[in-house]
Amino acid sequence: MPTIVSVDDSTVPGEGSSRLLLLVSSDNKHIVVEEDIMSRSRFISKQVEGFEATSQRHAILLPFSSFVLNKVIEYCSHYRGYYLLEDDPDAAPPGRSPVREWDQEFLDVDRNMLLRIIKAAHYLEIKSLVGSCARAIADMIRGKTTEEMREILGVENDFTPEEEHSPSSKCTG
Amino acid sequence: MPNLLLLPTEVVVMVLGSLNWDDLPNLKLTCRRLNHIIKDSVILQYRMGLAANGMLDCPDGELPMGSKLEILQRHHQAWRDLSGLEPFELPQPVGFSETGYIMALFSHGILVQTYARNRGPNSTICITRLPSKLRQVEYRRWYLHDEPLGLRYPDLTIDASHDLLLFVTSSADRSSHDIHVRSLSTGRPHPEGPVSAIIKIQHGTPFGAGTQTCGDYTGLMVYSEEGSMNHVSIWNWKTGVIQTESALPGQPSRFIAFCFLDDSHIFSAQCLFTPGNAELFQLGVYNFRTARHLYFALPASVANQPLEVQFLQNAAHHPQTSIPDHGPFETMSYASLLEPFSTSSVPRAKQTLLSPGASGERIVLASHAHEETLRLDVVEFLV
Repeated sequence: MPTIVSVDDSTVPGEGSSRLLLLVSSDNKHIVVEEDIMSRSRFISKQVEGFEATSQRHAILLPFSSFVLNKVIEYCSHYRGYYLLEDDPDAAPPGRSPVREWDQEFLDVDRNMLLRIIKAAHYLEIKSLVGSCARAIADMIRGKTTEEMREILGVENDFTPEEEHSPSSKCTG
Repeated sequence: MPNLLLLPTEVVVMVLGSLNWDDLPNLKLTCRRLNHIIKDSVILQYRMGLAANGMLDCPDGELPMGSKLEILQRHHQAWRDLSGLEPFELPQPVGFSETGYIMALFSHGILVQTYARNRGPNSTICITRLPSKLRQVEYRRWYLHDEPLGLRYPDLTIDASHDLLLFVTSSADRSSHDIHVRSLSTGRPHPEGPVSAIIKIQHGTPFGAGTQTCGDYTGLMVYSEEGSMNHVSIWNWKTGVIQTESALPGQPSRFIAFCFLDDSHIFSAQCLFTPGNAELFQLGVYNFRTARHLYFALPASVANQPLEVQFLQNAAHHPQTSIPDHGPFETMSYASLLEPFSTSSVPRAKQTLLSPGASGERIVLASHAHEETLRLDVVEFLV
């Protein structure tokens, strides 16, 4: 377990006056990031609100590796200051996530990484990133057979042979 | 080793929600948990139910998803057992006379009637939205505000997603033809259409009941001046600018039928005149933005016989790109309808042309063309 550290309440010169956050990944890497980069994350925002209420700022421990965390920070840095409808807690969620070209390239990673990113994005409550990952995963299994889908998604066939051939497990619409 | 099932259910549902509905049946068979998630998810069941029946969601309504699913299921049931049927007597339009009377029923239960008001010399159009108790759609009727000249037996079509009504008028001597661009909900010139609300057909004579529209484009088949040839003309109805005048440049040909696949492609059946006056039948896809063609090689026994073609489209396969920047029913008229769901707004190709001497029935079921690929669900030739 990482030690709880106090974060110096300093500001970054030049880059506006955003405060710093200390994020600690599951592999115990300490990552310092500007607060407004991470404000897209509802989870982080709530933590920050908590700091303000208690006037105590401390490190935020996250249950995923620095590899995944850095990827998420890259995403948040890219969209720093951008308004994305899905991340607006007051806006009605769009029916389907919009396709953003940058996201497609950003998420051109293997499926393990993709599943890790979506899990982290869900934990951090970054809806736009969850939506983009969901789309990317869906793209991988589109038009595939059941067997191929199992392989891509890493799921085991746990039906009994009887169930597999019974009409109730088949599509009934 | 991460796998999808380690993710929270709501995230899994988001992934599944990004799939096409026709991937869900395969996915249901992968494992128990996904099977249950799909069966238990109201939104997935609703989307599969819509897609399987060629229907689209109307996102503007205020009904919660659960109620929509329930209404959809009752709607399916009503079609299966024809229960709860009540006669609805359609009142005659104001000043109705049977002179020059035609009527066409479109998706969304929109009925368009054209008739000469009080047996006058000109015709007008009456639009009726048929009521549906189940879908909570109320009866509504409205009229074209004027009586355009030459509107006796018009060729007309609608696109509810663009609040669009298109009809063709011809001068008495059939020497000039216009496409009128109107708002479906008011009958007045369409606010997004050309200022004159008219697209002049510069070359040729439109024939058949074949005006179709998809996205910003409208197309119809016209005879060229020579008579025996014809082609498909496609305009941008917003600007009135012609996009293409022929899907088969440089080759003498006759179109039998066409339909829009999306806002870049048409699927067509045509007859080529080969040297020696033999007729060769072809099915093809034409990208009218890039002028690229793709043809299906038909067996000689089929290609040499008169072709009878019917295009059917499944709304569920229609790519979202056909309605740029908008949800399916975001426009004014459909925001006001507030139905939970509706039948397809995509152009449902409905052309059949019987060639004399056709010796069999041939059906082509095209689902969609997207990014230069075409998916044909069923191609059946029964000769």
